Amino acid sequence: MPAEAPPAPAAPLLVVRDLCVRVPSRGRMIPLVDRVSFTLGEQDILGLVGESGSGKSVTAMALMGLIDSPGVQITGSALFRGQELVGLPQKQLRRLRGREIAMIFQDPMTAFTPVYTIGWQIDEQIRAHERLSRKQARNRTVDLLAAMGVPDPAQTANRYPHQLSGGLRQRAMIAMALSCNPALLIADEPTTALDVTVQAQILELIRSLRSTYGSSVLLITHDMGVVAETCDTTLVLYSGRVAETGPTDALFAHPGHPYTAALLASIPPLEGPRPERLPAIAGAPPAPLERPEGCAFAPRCSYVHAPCLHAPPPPLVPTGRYASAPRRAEADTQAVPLPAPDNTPRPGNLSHGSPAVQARSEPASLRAAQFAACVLPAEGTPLPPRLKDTAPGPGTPDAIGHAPPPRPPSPSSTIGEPHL
Amino acid sequence: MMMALLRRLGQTAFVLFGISVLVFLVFFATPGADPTARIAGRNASPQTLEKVRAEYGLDRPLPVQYATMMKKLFITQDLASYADRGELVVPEIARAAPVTVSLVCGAAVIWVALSIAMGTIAAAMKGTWVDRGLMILGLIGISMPVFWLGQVANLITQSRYHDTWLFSWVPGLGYVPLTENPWGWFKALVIPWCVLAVMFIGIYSRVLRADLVALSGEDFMRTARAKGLSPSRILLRHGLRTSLITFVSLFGLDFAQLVGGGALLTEVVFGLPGVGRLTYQALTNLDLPLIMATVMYSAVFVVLANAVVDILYLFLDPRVRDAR
Amino acid sequence: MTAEAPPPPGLWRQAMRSLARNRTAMAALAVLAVITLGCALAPLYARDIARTDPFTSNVAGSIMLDGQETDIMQPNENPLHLGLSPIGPTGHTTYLLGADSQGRDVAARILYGGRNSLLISSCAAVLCLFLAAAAGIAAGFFGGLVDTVLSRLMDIMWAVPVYLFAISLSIVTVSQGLRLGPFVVEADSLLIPIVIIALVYVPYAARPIRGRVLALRQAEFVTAARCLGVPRWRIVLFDILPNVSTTLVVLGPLLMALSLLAESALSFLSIGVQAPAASWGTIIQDGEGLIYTRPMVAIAPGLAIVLVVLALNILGDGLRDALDVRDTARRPS
Repeated sequence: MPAEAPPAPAAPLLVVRDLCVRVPSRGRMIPLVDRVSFTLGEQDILGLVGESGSGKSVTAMALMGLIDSPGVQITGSALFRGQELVGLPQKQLRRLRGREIAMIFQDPMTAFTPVYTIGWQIDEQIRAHERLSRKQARNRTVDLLAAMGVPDPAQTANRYPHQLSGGLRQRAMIAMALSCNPALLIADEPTTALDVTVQAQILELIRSLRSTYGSSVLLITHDMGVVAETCDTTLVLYSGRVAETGPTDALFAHPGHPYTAALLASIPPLEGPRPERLPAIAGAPPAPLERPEGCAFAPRCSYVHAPCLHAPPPPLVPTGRYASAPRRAEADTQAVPLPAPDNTPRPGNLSHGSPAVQARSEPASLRAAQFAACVLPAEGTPLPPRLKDTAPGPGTPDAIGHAPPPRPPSPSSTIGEPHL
Repeated sequence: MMMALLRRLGQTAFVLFGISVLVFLVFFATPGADPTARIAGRNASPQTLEKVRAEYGLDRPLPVQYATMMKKLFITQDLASYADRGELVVPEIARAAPVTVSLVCGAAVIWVALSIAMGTIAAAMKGTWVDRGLMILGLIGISMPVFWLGQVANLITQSRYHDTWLFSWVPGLGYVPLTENPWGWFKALVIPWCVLAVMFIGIYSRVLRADLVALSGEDFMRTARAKGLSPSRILLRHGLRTSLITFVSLFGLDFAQLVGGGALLTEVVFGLPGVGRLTYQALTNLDLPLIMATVMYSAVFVVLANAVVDILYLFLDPRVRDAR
Repeated sequence: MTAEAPPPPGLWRQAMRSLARNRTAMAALAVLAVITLGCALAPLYARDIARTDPFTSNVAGSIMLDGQETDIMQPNENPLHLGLSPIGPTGHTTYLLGADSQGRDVAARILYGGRNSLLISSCAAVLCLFLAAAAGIAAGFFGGLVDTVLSRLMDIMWAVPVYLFAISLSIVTVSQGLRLGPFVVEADSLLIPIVIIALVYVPYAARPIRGRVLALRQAEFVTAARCLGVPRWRIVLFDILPNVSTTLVVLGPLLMALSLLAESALSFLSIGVQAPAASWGTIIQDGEGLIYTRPMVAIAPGLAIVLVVLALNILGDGLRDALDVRDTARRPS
């Protein structure tokens, strides 16, 4: 578990251990989030990836103390700067919210109260946490809007949410989140509702936050491309459980969990011949109520074998080549582009492009190795591709020297039939 | 903005015209009996009938009758009652209007204040027994016929408990003009205000609670919570303020309808000589011109009030301001 | 708009099961059943229990109470014993709630009155739903000119205060009845209040139905049906109507509650049910003059109204929750 990883030089900002969120349903407690653990360092960007319903947003809401449906049960621990968030009284949580931990939401269309101006709403947050006059608050609001790249900030502050475009609204949202200089910014799918070009701008903005504002970011997304471009560390959630976690580049280079591998395989390659058909993961993630007894991914997994179906969900185990080796070695050798993250128009801007980023990711690289809940077909052996004609994107892993023998069919006993 | 206002004005004019036609048709073209006899009142002499026929042009085609009627109502204002010895109808309505306005305004203050309080408290304490109790109370309020409630109130305050300290201040039934004796005006109207307000408190608090509860699932309410605002601020400044948009539009409709004569039953029970009781008296005398006039005037009032509400709406909801 | 399939056949059964679990709604239903049954058995009560005729004046009569012959009209309790008041609640099966100013048994009259009140309000609600469904579906589904005309008409009707509208309609029909070609409706027919009340509330019910149909028209399964060349009347009958039916069912009890209140108000103003027939409204009016001396005459029928309207409202709320219909409009004043 990441907990046993060598201690980081600086105390991490947020340490989450065995976080569980359960809701009652038909007399049973249904886990929406099941024993999720992760660590987020200062000025780190952690990506929380998963399909819809995998518990990413619930995790974030639980950290903020924003879940208040009747009967909900939150257990585990979440230490924010040494303060336990789980079970913290609402009154103290309120003091943290907005000031220490801020959140930006998926849909900027609906996330602002429609009857107040943008400026009023940002002023409100500032004045909720700091003793400032209206005028001082408004000045800071205008400065923030300007810093977020909003044109004519003083005017825009006086406009109503519906009068702004989606991109501007998301910038205003980020400005509001940053208005009290929070240590942790939780971004819940901040780009999903936006156009692709605006998406890139917003991601750029989020990336720049840590240098300009020194914030750590917990980025929730279902877009692997966004993760590759933005995050230092990645946590893949499946059906409320951690499937795999590790440094983004390592995880992308050598996915350990079949689910991660399948997710990556479904991204179209940026260069080289296009595959005739992109592989997709058949089926849908199970609803929390219908979660199977064994591994939740088993019904959709190409590598499923008998023990997967009944054994209790496997614990996280170190994986990849770096299970024991320090990551620095890998960082040096890694000279190739990552496996084709997707639809972003500017591949040159990947996180490795900037030396500043690389330098900053160092503490994370010392601390974190890659862990997965399942490594198939055999630990340390690269995965065979799921489908015959879908070789991973060009230049995927081979530069490192551990070129996987292309498509060796696994022993028949370990390969389940591809799920229909 | 200007365009929106103009368009609203056009719509208002159209609805006004439509209402006048509708009311006219109800009174003059309902199949069955001859409107002449109805206007002339009970046991009218043949001469009176003849006079009525000539005055309203009842032997001429319907559009002409309509024009005559409108002229008598709004331009010359010389519509006269036959049942009541030629009393002019329009000034009679003008005399009664202040009573109705007094009654409805006071009730409106009570019902707005109480329903906002009840709805907000119930929403804030959703699922508790306070919430359930308030909502059941509201439902009971909705379920009571207002004229019956008025009678029960009279029974308690005028007769059974009139001699106790609690209700000894209640004056006898009737109205005291505000200009004559403000304190007397107030005392005479307190009980009618409360009785009239009961049903609306029930409706409005339930509507408001439902609105607030529905809003609490909205994204912007979650944003407000994530901002670290206090629960009361979230509920009042974000939730209630947004709900007020619906609230105000409902209020406008109801207020207009009440001033336009919807408070008839309350006025009858408490002996308040307002427009509603005028209608009631006309009803018992079968005084058709008077009823026509009150219905027409009330409809005009309702339509105008609706237009005012719509304009108010433009100020309350920035989205509507830009949409048109 | 997300695609929305026609409700599965199990929807109704599921809704009924969830309604059956709602204890408040079930209690309301029980109250309604008891009151309806009581009113249905009114003749039995009058003949065998109260042993009076609630429709003939009995000012000079007397009854036997505890072996004593008691006059129905009794001297007032003021010092001079001036004037007469009808007998108050006796606590016996006969004249249980006392007599009205004409010496008639109030309890028996309430049961008979309930028949008219419940009959009028339920018929008015059904008729109103029928008209509103026709108008709402036509306006929502065909759109264009049909929608404009119908919606404007609704706007106009909406602008006249409900009770004033009902009064206007009543006063032109109440004296001479209604003649529509070969059809003659007598002035004292119950059909008149039924039709009037139904007409008055049509805009109230038609709006949510139109909104629902408008949403359905955009739904993918309707588009699919259109693309397949399904005739319009079939779409209305098999795709639109089943989906609107939940709204109709929820509106039903609420409309009946409104109609009951309207009926009692009209009867109270003596333009609803005409004498000698009774309804709860007319009994309250009878009791108005006796309110200080024999309050039970007015209070008892009022309580009956409150009870039934309350039960109907609760039932409507329960149905709404069970069927998950959200867009029912509010009541007009």
